[in-house]
Amino acid sequence: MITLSNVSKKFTFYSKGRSLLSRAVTGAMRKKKAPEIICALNDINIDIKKGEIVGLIGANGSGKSTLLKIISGIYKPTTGAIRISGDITALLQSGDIFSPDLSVRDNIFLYGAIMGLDRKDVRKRLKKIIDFAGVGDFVDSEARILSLGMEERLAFSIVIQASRDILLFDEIFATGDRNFTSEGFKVIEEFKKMKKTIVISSHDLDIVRRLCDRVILLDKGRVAAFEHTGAAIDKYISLVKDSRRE
Amino acid sequence: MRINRRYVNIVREFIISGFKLRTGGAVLGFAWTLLHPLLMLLILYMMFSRRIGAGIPHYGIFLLIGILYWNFFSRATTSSLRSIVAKRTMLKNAYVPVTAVVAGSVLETFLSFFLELLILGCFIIFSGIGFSWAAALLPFVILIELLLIGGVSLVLSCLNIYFKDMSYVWDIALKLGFFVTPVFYDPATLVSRGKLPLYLMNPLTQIMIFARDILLFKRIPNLMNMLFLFLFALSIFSIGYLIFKRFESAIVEKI
Repeated sequence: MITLSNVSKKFTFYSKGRSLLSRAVTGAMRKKKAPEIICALNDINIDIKKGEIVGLIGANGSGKSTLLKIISGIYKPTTGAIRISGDITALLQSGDIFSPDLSVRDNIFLYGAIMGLDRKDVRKRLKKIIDFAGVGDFVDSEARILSLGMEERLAFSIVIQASRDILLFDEIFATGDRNFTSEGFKVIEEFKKMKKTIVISSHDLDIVRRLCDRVILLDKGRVAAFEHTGAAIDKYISLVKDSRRE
Repeated sequence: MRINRRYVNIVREFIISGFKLRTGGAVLGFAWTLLHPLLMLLILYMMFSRRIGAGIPHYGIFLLIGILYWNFFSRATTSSLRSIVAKRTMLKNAYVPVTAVVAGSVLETFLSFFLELLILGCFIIFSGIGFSWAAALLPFVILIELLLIGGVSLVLSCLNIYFKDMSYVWDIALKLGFFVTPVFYDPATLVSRGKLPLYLMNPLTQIMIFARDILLFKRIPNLMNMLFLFLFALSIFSIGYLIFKRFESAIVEKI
């Protein structure tokens, strides 16, 4: 279960040069500039039930990734409260996930630890991870040879092996081929049967339509809709049309 | 800090992967990390053994102790300084306690330091110096240095997020530190009497004096000084930790 009440997130940026040298040279003379504040999330109230698959849609910059980072605990909300029961496994970043100079195997152990698996767990699941990711031939090569799609697939493969109660995904199917997408779907459908809670952001509305029970539509950091998939998607489409007309 | 199984796992994997990255996972790479202090020893020995090191018995061992303890401090703080930025993607991908990143980086350097100490031990045996019971105090000296490094590293890694040129500043500070710490000379002969009390306030100087007392001169160091330094290092660590905790949640947003 995931509950967010009145959650807001503000980011503060200082336009001033961020170096000691520039501070030393100009700092004494220049007046302190007011920082730029960006309100990424504004008064978010959502309640996600156990076993629910929730989609997260909205334009670029509407706050999808920030929301996922808040739920996963990477960012702390500026105001508001979060209540989560269950262990979270998250895959929120695409690309650059693995260390290019380490072997694929070493990367699996490292990433596994991040996802909450110890060495023994990883060893037990290593074959499954490698098979699902289809990297059997490259296990002992440096990870730099993996393509972006393969990297993503391997990360997904580790995450599903490490998953416990709650999974968070940010645009995971964006770089995958059809084969990956269809196998990923199967996994998520299986997780649904296992009553795992999943929040998944995507720009691909077909994916959202197929997988999700309910959808959160974000618009400029606010929840514009949180309802059944079809209705939320319709709202999103009309929202896009409105903004085009403007 | 919640030190649970996951935290320990993460730190362990950071140590293993960091070590593999640095040595290239190969025997040759590992040999290089050991060869590095020995080559530094060779250079400094050639430069200083005639004059500065003339009155010091077993100057080679004296020098090696200085180099190893200095390198540990310098390498650990430098790598920690960059550690958080280097793990940027990882920290943004899933929740990872940021202290684990710094801990991994310090302890990975500690692992190399430990292996270097084993080699130092061989040198001490082969040169006929041997060990005395005072050597039992060595882990305590290492603990003091570890606490000191931990505190400094936490602050540096944090500053590096806010100031992009922190690594230059620290690099220069270390250059200065190398000369104001008795890595290759005996402070009693080289530092003027008036400046000596100030000079001895450098905790790294104290650590080197302790290490040499124990390993080279086979005597028990001044225990009061040692206890005092331990408390000092402990407070540096605590302050560093508190500063880090204060900025921890902002760090991930700013990288």
